[in-house]
Amino acid sequence: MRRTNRLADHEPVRSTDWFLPLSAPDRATAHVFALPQAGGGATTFSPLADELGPEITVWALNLPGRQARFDEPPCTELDPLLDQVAGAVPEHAPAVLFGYCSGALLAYLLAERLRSRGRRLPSGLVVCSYPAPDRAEPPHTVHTLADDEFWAEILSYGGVPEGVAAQPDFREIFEPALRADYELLADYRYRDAAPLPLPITAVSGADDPVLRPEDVDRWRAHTDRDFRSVTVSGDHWLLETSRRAVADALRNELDRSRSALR
Amino acid sequence: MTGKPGPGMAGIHTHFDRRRSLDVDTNFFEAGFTSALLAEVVTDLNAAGFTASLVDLYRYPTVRELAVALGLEQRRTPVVPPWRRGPAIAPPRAGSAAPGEAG
Repeated sequence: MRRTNRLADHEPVRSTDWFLPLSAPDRATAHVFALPQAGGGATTFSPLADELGPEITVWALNLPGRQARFDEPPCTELDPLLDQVAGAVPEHAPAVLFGYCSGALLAYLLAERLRSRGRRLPSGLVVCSYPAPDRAEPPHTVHTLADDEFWAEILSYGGVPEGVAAQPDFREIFEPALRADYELLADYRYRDAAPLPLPITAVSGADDPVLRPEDVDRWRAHTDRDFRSVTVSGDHWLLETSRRAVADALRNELDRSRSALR
Repeated sequence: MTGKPGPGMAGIHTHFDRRRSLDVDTNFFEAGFTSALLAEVVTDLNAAGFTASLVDLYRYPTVRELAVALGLEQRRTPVVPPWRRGPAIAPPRAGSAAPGEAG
């Protein structure tokens, strides 16, 4: 099912594209490439995009098996997925890469993949609510649990909006993408890599029940440029509770990269 | 063929458009609808007498497709030049793609 939606004078956007712009890119002076949490779709970031305003376009990762790509089978293999996403990262600059929850790990791996392919790197990496790649321990077996156990586990993490959980068919909508995303990272092992040549900002919630501060601070080891750790009020799901603070962190990272260009 | 929304389509369009502006052929997700916002729309549609569930909005992710699935709008037929048209056939019956069936 291909459909086009022309955003001003830009190339038509297709609902099957790997990155969907959440505002008109021709009005933007800066860009954010955003990767969502497990099971998340592109519009996870649309309230954030609204908060950032028309000067910054959020290009949200649009994975198969959900939302605009609901009728496609989801990806369960990390390596081919990274190759495909690396090949589809928009060329816009200045831009920062942003990863939310396990999307932070994907964002790191994507930056690493872009570097190994000799592609231009974004001018910064902002990670939110996730440990550094050598401290991350994605669950190994969640994707294999039987239905009721699976959903008990998923709902225990929080993050499913009440209005959605109240819909009788929400499980059938979200289960394929969620299982696939947990399978994607089930066998993840950190592979030693040189620090990235781009500044990193790690954003975390002061009341995150599972994230250890030392694992957030550990992101420091993965850049040979500046590192900042920003602790904001809120728990794990900061796009729900502390959207403005996350937007500020993105703006600051973009400002930093623009002043570095001057 | 007409691109103008019929009254039924306009009736569902408004429940989307007042939350995030979109035209009848724009994918809900490209227009920035989150699952939480779509869940609100479903509640409104049901209150207005339309029988649609959340998964219908995922399977028919534009106002026009949803209107066709709900039997409010005829399917858009491709333009075929007269010399390539076969014998007249009945247009697809509105409502033949019942929402809720496996798509």
